[in-house]
Amino acid sequence: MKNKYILITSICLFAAISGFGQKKVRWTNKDKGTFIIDFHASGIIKDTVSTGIAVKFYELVKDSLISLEGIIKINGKKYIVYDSTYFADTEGFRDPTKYLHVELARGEYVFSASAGKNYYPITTGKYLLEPLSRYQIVFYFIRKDELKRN
Amino acid sequence: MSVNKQKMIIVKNTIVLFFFLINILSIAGQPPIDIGRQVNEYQGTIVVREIKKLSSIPKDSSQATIRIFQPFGRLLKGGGAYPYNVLIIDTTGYSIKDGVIKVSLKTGWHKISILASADIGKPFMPFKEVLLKFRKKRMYYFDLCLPLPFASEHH
Repeated sequence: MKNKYILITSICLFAAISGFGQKKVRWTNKDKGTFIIDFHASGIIKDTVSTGIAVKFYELVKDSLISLEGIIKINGKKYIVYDSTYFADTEGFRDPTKYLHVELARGEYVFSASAGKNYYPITTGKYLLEPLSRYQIVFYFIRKDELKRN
Repeated sequence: MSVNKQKMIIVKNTIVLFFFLINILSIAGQPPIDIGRQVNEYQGTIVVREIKKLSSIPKDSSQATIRIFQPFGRLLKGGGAYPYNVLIIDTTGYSIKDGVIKVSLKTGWHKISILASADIGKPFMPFKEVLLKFRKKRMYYFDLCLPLPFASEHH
């Protein structure tokens, strides 16, 4: 009987170890939302000890992107992310300063983004921010009802 | 409850606890990523749009319609010499000409990855390899959304 337990444990461990490195993906969009980090030229440098972070939300719709509003938690602190398309001027230029732009001190930060109950939320890993830089984090959301099964 | 059943439950709980602890430790022990070194590698994602059962598909196969977007929201028009992306399914490469690839696959697990030529001092891989299970007589519509590399000169 003891051997049986050892065998089960070994099989489980082997399955877990052999599964590392290969990501089996289910046919669902849960946890498929993603983010990218890019250089951000705009923003007023208020001081020399902070990092400027601009945040944008988009939905990955079928053929393009749709700007979204939502909430971002930076180390647990809530900020509202507005839809910048409302701020386009008469010539169609968007004012990038109307995006959420926060100044953060040097440190480690985790960003959790949410665009309402219709979208899967996104959480980043832990990032170390160094002062005197400007970045933008763009989150790409997927609707919970995006997948159609027939 | 028999002694054997109790022992089995203990073993099962121990295994669950073991993996739970490994998971916790692996997350907590991760060093923070320097934002200045983030190049968006492997930040590409897969968006599943539709899964349809079609009787016209042979019994032992399935079909996939894959659209490639790079950057996000823009259908990739390939064909250029550089940079290029090649869709790899198992060991077969598919060139991305108009951003849409239709393939017929045998049922079962298939490995999907992107081979990219973009270079940021080292090869830039926009998408992490995934394993997907294709079931018989199914038509799968999904998008691969790939980021552009965050150029190192911006850092």
